[in-house]
Amino acid sequence: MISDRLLALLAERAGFRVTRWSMVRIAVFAVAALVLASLVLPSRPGDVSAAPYNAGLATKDVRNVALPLGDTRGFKPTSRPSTYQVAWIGGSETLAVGAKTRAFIPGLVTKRIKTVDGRRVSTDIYYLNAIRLADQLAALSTALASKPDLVVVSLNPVWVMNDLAVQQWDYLDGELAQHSAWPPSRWPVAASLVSPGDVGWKLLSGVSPDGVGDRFDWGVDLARRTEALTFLDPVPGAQPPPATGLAALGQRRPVDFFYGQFQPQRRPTSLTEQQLGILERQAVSRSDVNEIVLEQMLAMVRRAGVDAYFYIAPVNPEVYAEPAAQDYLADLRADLARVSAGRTDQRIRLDPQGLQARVPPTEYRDIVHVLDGRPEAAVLAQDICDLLTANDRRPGCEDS
Amino acid sequence: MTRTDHPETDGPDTVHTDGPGREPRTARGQTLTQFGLEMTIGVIIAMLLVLVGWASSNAIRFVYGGY
Repeated sequence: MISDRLLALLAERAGFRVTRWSMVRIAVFAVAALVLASLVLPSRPGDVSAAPYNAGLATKDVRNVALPLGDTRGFKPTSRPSTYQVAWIGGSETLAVGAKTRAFIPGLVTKRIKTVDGRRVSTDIYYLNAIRLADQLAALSTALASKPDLVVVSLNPVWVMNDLAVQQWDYLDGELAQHSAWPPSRWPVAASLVSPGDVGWKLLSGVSPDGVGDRFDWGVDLARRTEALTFLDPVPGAQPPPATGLAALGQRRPVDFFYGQFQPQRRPTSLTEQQLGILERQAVSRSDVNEIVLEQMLAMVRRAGVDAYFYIAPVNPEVYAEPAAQDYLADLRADLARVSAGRTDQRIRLDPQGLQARVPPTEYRDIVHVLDGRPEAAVLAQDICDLLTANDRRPGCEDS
Repeated sequence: MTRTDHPETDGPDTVHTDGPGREPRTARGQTLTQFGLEMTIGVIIAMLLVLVGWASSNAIRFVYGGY
């Protein structure tokens, strides 16, 4: 309505005529203006120094490369061409959480391997709390674009095949869209998760990297400068009302997703039973979406021609001692064996058995968060060194 | 008010009137006006896209609720 009146006004006052070609020219002018904006505006490439756990755990060779939650660029891989570059994708199961043993487990592994072919190992951790399989797919897309020498993917046994937990961080869908154009085998996952808005903003980001692509940082500045603007009289010392239960739940990520939609067969009375309920939900998943995502990840590393190691982190031995837990994990192993059959080889490894039997029992905070990551890191380093050695690499851990 | 159907193909001598009391314009002047308006609209669209992008990118604040 407003645009109709505006066009009528322009036609009356200035003789403006809307034709097919005028629309094309307006689009061209808009694109040119976006390109110009990108040339004029300073680049805002994002900063990972404030990424979770970097302050205390990052080293010269290991860092979390996740940008802030909500930044649609997702991750900012480092570029150190002289090093052997590892991209390690995982969630909180890759963190050792003991008070005195807090560490990135990928960092402990990097320290053990040290060098490959005489080059120092440099590890980018694509770390997000509660990362799910589709988030890992988006992270893998970004990681492969940075041309790493090795990709390591941690599959969280708690929800890797839970079809209610396919995705957690949907702001990564733009990255997913960008890397899902080709080959067509990537379209089913993209069509399931990506919205037209994700595609549109990613296209505009390509046209105007510094104007639209860096919009998160500009948006933070804009919010800071405008948040005090109001037509209302300020009330000194006023506090916002406490969030209602639903509002608080709506803000939280992740929400208590499976307990909201799934009731275990028995009412959990202890932490262990609650955790078994989580595994139980995974075991009754019927959708194929998780399998399709995992298949796509295996296909992507094959297509990229990169060495890749997928692993299933161990769970708390006390939980694993429960017969029900062993049954659930046996189901998981069967699923993973079916998905990986024919899709792994000498360069792409996924052991459906996981690390459970090979990592010496140690203390956990809960089902999957280990206090001391060193026993797990030793097994991981050994597996990765075996993979590299089998592919004519010379990892430094050969001598250790 | 008199206009041609295809102002882009008008010759330089074509005369337009845009209403009572207005000066007649040549086709060249009309074309320049048309292009100028198209450019203005294109730039405004680009500015709106950038502004909406900036204003919406940080709109959803995520709070990690733990698992």
